[in-house]
Amino acid sequence: MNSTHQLVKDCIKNSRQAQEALYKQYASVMLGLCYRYTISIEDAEDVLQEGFIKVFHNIEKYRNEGDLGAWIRKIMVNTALTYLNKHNKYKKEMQLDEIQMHPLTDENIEVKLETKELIETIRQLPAGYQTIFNLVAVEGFSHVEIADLMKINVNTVRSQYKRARGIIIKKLTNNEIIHLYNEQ
Amino acid sequence: MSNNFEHNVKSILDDFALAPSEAVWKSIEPELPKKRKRRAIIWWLAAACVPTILGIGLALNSTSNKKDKSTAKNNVIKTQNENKEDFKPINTTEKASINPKANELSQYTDNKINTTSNQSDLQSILLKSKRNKASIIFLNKLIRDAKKSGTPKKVSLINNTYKQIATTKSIEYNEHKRYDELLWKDSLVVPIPNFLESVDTKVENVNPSFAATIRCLPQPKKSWIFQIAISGGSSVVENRTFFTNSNQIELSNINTPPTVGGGVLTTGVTPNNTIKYLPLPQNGFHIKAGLIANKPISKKFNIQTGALYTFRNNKSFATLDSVMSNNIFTEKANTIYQNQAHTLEIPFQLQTQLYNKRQINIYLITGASINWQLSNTYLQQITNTNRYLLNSQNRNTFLFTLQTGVGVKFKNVNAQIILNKGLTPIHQTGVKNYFSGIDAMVMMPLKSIIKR
Repeated sequence: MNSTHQLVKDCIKNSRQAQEALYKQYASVMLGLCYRYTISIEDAEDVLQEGFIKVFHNIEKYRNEGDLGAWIRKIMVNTALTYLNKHNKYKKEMQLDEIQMHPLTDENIEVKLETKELIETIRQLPAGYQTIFNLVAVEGFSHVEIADLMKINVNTVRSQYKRARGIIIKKLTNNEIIHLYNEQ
Repeated sequence: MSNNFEHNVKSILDDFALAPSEAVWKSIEPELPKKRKRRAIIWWLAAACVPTILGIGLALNSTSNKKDKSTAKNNVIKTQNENKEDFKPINTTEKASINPKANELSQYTDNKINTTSNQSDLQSILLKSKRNKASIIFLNKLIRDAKKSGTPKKVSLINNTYKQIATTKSIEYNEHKRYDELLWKDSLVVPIPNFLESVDTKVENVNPSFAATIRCLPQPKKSWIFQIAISGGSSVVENRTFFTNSNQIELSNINTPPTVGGGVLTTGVTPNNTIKYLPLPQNGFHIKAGLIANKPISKKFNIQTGALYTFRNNKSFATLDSVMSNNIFTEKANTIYQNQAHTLEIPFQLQTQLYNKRQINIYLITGASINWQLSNTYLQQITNTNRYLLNSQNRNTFLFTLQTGVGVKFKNVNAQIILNKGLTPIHQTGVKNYFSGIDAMVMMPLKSIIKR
């Protein structure tokens, strides 16, 4: 029985140690995911908190098929989407058709420069565009799946993704972070 | 090219990680499901032991019964006392000795709460503190600080609500669509489920786990609210049935409106059925004052009762001179009788909320009241003068009235317009009087008046 399986089993028994271990194993990566969907570290932590609560309450549903990290990621993405639709400051931007970049709070996260540039560019997009870009480019959802998830038209997903992508590339080009889209 | 871009973005961001603060796990922990107790085999063992335990228990029961009861009673009393201690209002001058947590909270002012480590400390203090007045005052301060930085209207509305409850100790409970007001009873703090949802970002920058802490607090019980009431209005006397000395005749056909001193009432009845009294459907007035008790029983319904002293003054009826002429029996109004009554009214109302927003609450009233007539006096006006003689008195009769109306509540002040319809009459020689009327009442909470 591998360690992940045992960890899940102990979590199902509500062993606090196991729960904390699981949390510590995946919290950083998941916070990175949440950070990409929100505009502040506090909001990201809020999503992280709600997401992990859901993970532990539904851990029995994990059937040891596929990667645990991927399963947790799915829950976290759904939690992030719920959060965006629930909070007023994101709600309007979720339905916004025009792209109006918003400024970020001064959060001095310690990451590589190109990662920071990329993340900050994504996070400056309006919430709707930001979400669609994250879901397509990073999470790998199809346009149809995203349309279903966000309850919008698939053409809207396509056009918003195209525009978001264009803006990100332009900004990164201006900042000379150009190798992201060079052919290798 | 395009696939490369997505591929590169994914490879950078897939592993992008940030270290969460310690406070996040601390806020997740309380929400986690509790450890399961062992099952199955334990239950089987327990089931097997039950008959044995029962047998032993029954054998011991007769000898220890009395002892058990008194122990249980002592435990109950102890628990009740403990609860009362927990929620005792904190006198600000005694803060330090009664509840050190209040002092601990007081250091978290202004800029200090902006750092995450301070927020997690604060959260653990609030979790331990017994959900007391210090917590609500702290919340109040938090909102006030946010308001100072020019935040929008909704924050100031929450601020005002908190301030009102914290300072006036109002025990109102209202539920709004976006946020709940607090129910304040003996310093018990009530959570607002979506407390920070509609609040400006500046306040939301406080660690959200703080809000989660507040959400865990229990809802208080809805309790009676006592109010002082005064009202005034008009009363109408409906005189429906008139007695003669030997016969009862109901007046339903009045050909011409009767007037005092000159009007006639043609009835067409024979002189044997002499009508002695003439109805005067004139309005009088009444005034009431007393105590009202109101209690919410659900989100939409309140019940109200109380005790009101009422003074009512009406012109009641007039005696008639009877005249027989050309086989037509006519009466002339002569002496006016005035009625004054002192009553103790006990109303029973059901209030149905129709509108409840921004501290304005409009509700429909249906109900009834029992009126204990302490005294009911008929005064006879001396003809062509303004002087009255005491004619008769009766007391200790009970009248029942139906009530319907509408009420408006703004902040702590309640105003009602009620229509009353008498169901039972007052009997007086010759008449049955039914009192109806319209009443305008104003009520204010007893505690706010005492405080002033």
